Amino acid sequence: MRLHLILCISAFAFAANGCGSAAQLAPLNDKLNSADTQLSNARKAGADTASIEQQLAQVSRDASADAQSAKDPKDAVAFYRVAAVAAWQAGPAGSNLVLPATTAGITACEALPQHDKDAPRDCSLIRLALPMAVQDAIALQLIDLKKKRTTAQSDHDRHCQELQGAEAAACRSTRGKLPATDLPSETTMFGDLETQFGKVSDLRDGLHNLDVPPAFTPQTDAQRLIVYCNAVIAWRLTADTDADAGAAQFAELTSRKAAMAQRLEASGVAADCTPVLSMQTTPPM
Amino acid sequence: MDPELILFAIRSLIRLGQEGAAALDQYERDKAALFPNGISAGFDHIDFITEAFIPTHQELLQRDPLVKLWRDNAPAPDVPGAEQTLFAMAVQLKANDAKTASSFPQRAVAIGGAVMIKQWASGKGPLSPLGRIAITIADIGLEFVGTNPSVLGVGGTGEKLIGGLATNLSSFIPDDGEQFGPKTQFAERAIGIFLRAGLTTLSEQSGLLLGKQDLQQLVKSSLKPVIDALPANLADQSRWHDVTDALLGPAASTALTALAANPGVFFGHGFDSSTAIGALTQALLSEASTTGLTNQFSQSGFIALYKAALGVVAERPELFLGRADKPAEQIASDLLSKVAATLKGAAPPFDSDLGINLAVDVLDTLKTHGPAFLDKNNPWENVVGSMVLQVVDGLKNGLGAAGAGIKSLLSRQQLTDLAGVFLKQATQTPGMLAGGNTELQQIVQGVAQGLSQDTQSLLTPESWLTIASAVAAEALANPQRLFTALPGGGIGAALIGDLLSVAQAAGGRAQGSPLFGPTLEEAIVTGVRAVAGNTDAASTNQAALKDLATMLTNLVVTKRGQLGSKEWLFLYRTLIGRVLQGGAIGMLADAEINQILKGATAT
Repeated sequence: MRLHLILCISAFAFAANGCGSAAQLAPLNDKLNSADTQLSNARKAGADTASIEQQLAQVSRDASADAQSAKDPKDAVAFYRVAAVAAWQAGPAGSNLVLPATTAGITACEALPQHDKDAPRDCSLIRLALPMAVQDAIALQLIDLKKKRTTAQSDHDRHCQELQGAEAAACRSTRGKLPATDLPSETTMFGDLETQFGKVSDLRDGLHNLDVPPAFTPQTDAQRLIVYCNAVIAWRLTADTDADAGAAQFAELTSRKAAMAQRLEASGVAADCTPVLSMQTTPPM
Repeated sequence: MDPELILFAIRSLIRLGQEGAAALDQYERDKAALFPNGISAGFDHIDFITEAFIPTHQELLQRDPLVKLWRDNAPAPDVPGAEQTLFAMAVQLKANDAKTASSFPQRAVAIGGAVMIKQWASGKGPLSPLGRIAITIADIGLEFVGTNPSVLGVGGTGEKLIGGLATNLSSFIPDDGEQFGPKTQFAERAIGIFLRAGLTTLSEQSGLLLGKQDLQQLVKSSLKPVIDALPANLADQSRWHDVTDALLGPAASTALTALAANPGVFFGHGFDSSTAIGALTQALLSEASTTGLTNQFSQSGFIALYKAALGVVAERPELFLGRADKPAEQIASDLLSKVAATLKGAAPPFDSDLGINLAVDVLDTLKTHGPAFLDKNNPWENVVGSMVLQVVDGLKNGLGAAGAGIKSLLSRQQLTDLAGVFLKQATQTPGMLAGGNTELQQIVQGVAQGLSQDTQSLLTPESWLTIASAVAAEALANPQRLFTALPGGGIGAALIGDLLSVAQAAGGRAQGSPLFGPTLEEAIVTGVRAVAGNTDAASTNQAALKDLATMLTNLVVTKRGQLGSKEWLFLYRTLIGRVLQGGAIGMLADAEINQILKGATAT
């Protein structure tokens, strides 16, 4: 903050040109980075993240406002990048902010003389923010469903303990299932994740046309893998849903899941969820 | 100055400023930004097993040995170790899949925390701040060609100056976005100021001939210390910017001119004199930053002091360089800070540029005659200011200023000239300041006392300058004789006072007295020279010496038809020795006077 004040005053004192709006970008970037670090730590600790998400939502609002008043189109794109990423990270608190920020941000990118090429990282992050925010929202629903499945399994185990002999053995040879009423939402979630995976993959395929730093591509692939693995969870949940409909849905979705894996592999990325197994960004179950 | 040059300077300033602001915006936009990770819904072992086997290796689950472990699309819950066995198999399958994927080489994705990523791949983004400034410098140079084609012609001095800047540019501005902070901004500004001042100086003084290497060294030594010294504190930075804006251009111009006048001296010998130039430039800005640009001294005052010190560097580099006890930077800093501090405490009007002019006098003499007048036990840079103060205090005490500013019939410039006379004499006197000697102050005070007694303006300012020069020379040649710290100031001061007293009593020209103007001036100089070699006798016979002057004045007034100023002076010059040897001579008979004057005629 102090550095930017100095820079701002220096620029003003020297040139009498006034401060570029980009000077206001720094404090917003700092707030975003700081809040995101807090969010990550809170998630690892299983703590409540609501207040941090509110902070991120406010960063998004402020950045959007600055973007609208920015004189330099590149500055506007930079502000929209902050707005979009902050809204994405704000989770439920940013659900109403992501779409406006990314829509306006994409418009700003397309207004640049060479479109995304003039701000490759910022425009790519803006385009990434919406599918990732959607996938995060679905991930939170999946977490709830998994909790529900765990509860169903506990109920099933208790029921088996109440039984005797062959009945008990038969009971223990099966698993607790989610009710069939959950199947449509599981299917929808899988489909939505499949869609977001496609969008992120499309963006990833276009990166070779942009001069982003080399680290941008593997980080994008990491997001694709997260989306893919969440889709696997949704797919897997259909198998854990009661009645034949669940198994049938599981079989039907298998080919679509395989197609997603093939797309990952086609871009040189192993469809291997091992890294996600040890990932520590999961919100409290 | 050529109006075109002024316009050029303004346009350059604006352009560099705009470029600096644009570079700042670019830096802010392009620096590393957050790329976070999405949320995982809690991928577990059963998810992993399912994903690994289905559909690619689904047949393995339908035959031995795994068929017993897999039931209803999940590990059999009633088979101990089923989940663990299947997980181990799944891990193995994934490893094999990666190995056999020959058509699409696959890599495992690492998922850590959020990462920070810059806007651009290395070397792919727009020009770095350094590159932008380099282009702007070239642009300014091109514009200058339009108004002054000769300076920037091939091999021209302007071309060499820009070459010197370009050569050193990377050392001024770190070519790294992460370091693009206030110092880089300041460096851009300083380079612009230096370039404008340099090109303008070279244009106005087309005869300046400077070598490429010399210019490179000058640029490096003048700019880098100034840029490096940018303070961390915001308020200090603001002051540093102000003084740089005001003084760096004139300082660069002065340094270029000095360098052109002494090319072999500055960079042609064993000393790296460029270090001293840089040290002086930094010291100048530091002092101006501390003192303020208008509070005490003017910009031209600061530059005059810088120029004089630069002259010392050129002629006496050993005074700045090669000292075991202090680096050049410290010597330069001490010199300017002590001069400024001393003058700030001096009596008005010498607490201003007038005081600086005196310090310049001292430095100019030091440059020409060397440091023989200094105390060898006291670093020279420490005593320049105190030497000036001796003169100022002598004037103050002699003129009877009590706490207020010095007031006299002399103008400020004449007062400065008077002080300069004493300093010039003193700085040419070996050992003048040895052992903390304050005799200079006593000499100045003695003459100033006389000046204060000249209430009828019997002497012109020019006469007082002549008297000061002669009296100072005599007093310095005869140490500790004419002027002392004792009350009254010594026989020199007494003699001058007595002659003025006699002259005033005689009433000057209106009463027919010859004792005014050139005659009185000559009488004082003669009297001081006469008593300098025998001050004991002069002190013993002080009253008799005064009586002699009174007697001669009365005589000439009485016999105004026969005697005049020439006769007064001849009689005084002749008889003063007799008084010193024998005391009072009383009234002289006409015959004796005639006899003495006949001797004058004869001679």
